[in-house]
Amino acid sequence: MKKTWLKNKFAFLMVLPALLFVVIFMIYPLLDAFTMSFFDVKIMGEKIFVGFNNYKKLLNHNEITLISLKNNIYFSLFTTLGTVVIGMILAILLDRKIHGWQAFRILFYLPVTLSSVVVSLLWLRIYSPNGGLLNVILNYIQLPFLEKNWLGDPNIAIFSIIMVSIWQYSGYTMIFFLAALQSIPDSLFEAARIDGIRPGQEIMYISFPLIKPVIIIVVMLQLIFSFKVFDIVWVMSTGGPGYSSSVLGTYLYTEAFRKFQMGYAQAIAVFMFIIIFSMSLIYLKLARFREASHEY
Amino acid sequence: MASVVLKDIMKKYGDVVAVSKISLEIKDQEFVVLVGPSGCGKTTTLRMIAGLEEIDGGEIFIGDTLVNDVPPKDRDIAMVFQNYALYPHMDVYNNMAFGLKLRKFPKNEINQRVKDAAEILGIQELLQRKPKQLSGGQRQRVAVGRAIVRHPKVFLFDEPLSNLDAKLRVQMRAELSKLHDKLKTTMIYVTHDQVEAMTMGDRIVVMRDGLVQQVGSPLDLYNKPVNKFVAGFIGTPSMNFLDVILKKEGDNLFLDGQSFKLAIPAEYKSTLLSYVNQELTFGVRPQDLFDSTVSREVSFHEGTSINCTVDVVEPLGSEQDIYLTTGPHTVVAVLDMQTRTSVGADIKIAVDTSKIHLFRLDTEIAII
Repeated sequence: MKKTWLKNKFAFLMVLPALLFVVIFMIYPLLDAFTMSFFDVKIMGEKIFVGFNNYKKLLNHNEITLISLKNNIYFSLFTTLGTVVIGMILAILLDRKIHGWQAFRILFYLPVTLSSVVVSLLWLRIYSPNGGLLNVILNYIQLPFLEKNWLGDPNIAIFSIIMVSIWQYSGYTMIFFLAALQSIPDSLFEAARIDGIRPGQEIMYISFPLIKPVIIIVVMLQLIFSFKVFDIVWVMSTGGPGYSSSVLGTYLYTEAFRKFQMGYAQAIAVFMFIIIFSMSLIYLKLARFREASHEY
Repeated sequence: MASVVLKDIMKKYGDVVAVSKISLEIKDQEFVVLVGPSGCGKTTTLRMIAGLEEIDGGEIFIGDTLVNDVPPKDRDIAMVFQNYALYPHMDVYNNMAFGLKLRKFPKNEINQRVKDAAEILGIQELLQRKPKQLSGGQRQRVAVGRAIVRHPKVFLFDEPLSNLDAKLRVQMRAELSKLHDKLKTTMIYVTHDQVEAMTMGDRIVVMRDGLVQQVGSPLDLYNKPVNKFVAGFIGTPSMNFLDVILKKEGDNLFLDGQSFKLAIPAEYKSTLLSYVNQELTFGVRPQDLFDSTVSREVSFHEGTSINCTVDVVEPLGSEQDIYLTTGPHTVVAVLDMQTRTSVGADIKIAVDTSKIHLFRLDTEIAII
């Protein structure tokens, strides 16, 4: 009994530095943000307790919250859908070991390694209404009616940004799917060929069912990751025109550093935290499911 | 059920010839074992029969049909893989039924076939389990079950027992042999384990470097190997090989091995006369060596024994493997437990000269 306690004590001492780190840099700021969200914090540091007023302002028929939340949901869903579908198609193509597949793998993954700010600046030029590459191409291929003010039109600005995010992160999902596909032993496909599977059917009967756990995890990771979006939207549109492409991240930033409404910004942060934390709980549950997945 | 005929089949990987113009006729209902060391081309040959590898030359017939360009699913074969290749996301029932479902068999027939196969293999209780919930032996049975339900013309086995422990391997060996007797289907079985080959096959094909070395019944291969490779590959422990010179004294032939002289039985004289004074390889199985002081197995004459020194003694319970040296040669003998000896002791080993082998030194082809 004493020995166990000593052993536990030693283990506790070993993890103590990490624990302190988490408490100081994660738990304390979280609690502080949570507390601050109940105050009206002036720029000079003066704090006035306002109870749930910040939350009422945030959630009670606030059009900007609604637009931002809707854009967040669009951004999350469409980025996830786009990156997962395109990533999967690329992975399936690369898994066929087409000539030069290693080079393609690097090429497709390259955008992931770029900073979001760099990518945003690059696409700002592509989307530019004044001689931007996209409109030039559309004009060149005789589709001038598709030319748009991609970031200036409030109806499509958020979708233009979503496209950039899909472009940047499809390589990220591709790597997961490719690794999962390549971990399936060839003998399973060979057994299926002998069993009578036709070309193309193996994707439906063998590949998809076997990489399903990975697909679920990637979808959840992408949903969480894209829900936190800030930089790409901020650089490309600062949430505009108006608030048409605003997301919770840019709304929070505007309130905190443009309007200096720190208490209200903290309420937005807590609101985002609750949503992302809930999604993370689902992810953790699914991650356990992944651990119990297929062995070959 | 069908015969399988291979005519001059070839397989190359770049410049490497994996299988070099193999011709083989496997009769209907026959159990043929392809055996050989790693890289000899046995698995490639099996995969070519299955249609999983394209052939670079020659023809393969299953029954009367030329199947060179027929996809695996239309060859009417079933294969059991070394790692079983069970679909991890399907339970045992669906693993077995998958091939039938793809071929659009009626549901009741699928049920019946899976049930029958499960009964034959004793896996009725496992039908709802996933492969990862099964032991190695159970997985192996399911893999065989998946092959059985298809009622194929030919079964192909690619080292199916190599992932099992030694005890289970012996058990499954017997079960597969029983299964062959029951199903009466042509079976082609690949293994690198010569014991499996000897115990299971009606005929054995010994391969090396993409070439067939010898085809024959297990006893043919054991007693009449055509070359030094087959002689050494078949049998445990391996046959002893000693470099000797064939000499003639008067009317008698004998082998001069520097440290021993061994009289050759008169029946081989006519065959060996042309090799007098040539260097040859003398082969003798460890089981054909005896302790001359205790053995009553064979009656020994002058010139049929070798003086040796004991290097290592490996008692196995029913018998013992004794590693010996005589002059420049090392020899293994399987002696019964009556022989009491120890490392460093001198021992006179009698040779059953009626069972000796001689190989040419250059071509390694058997002379006797």
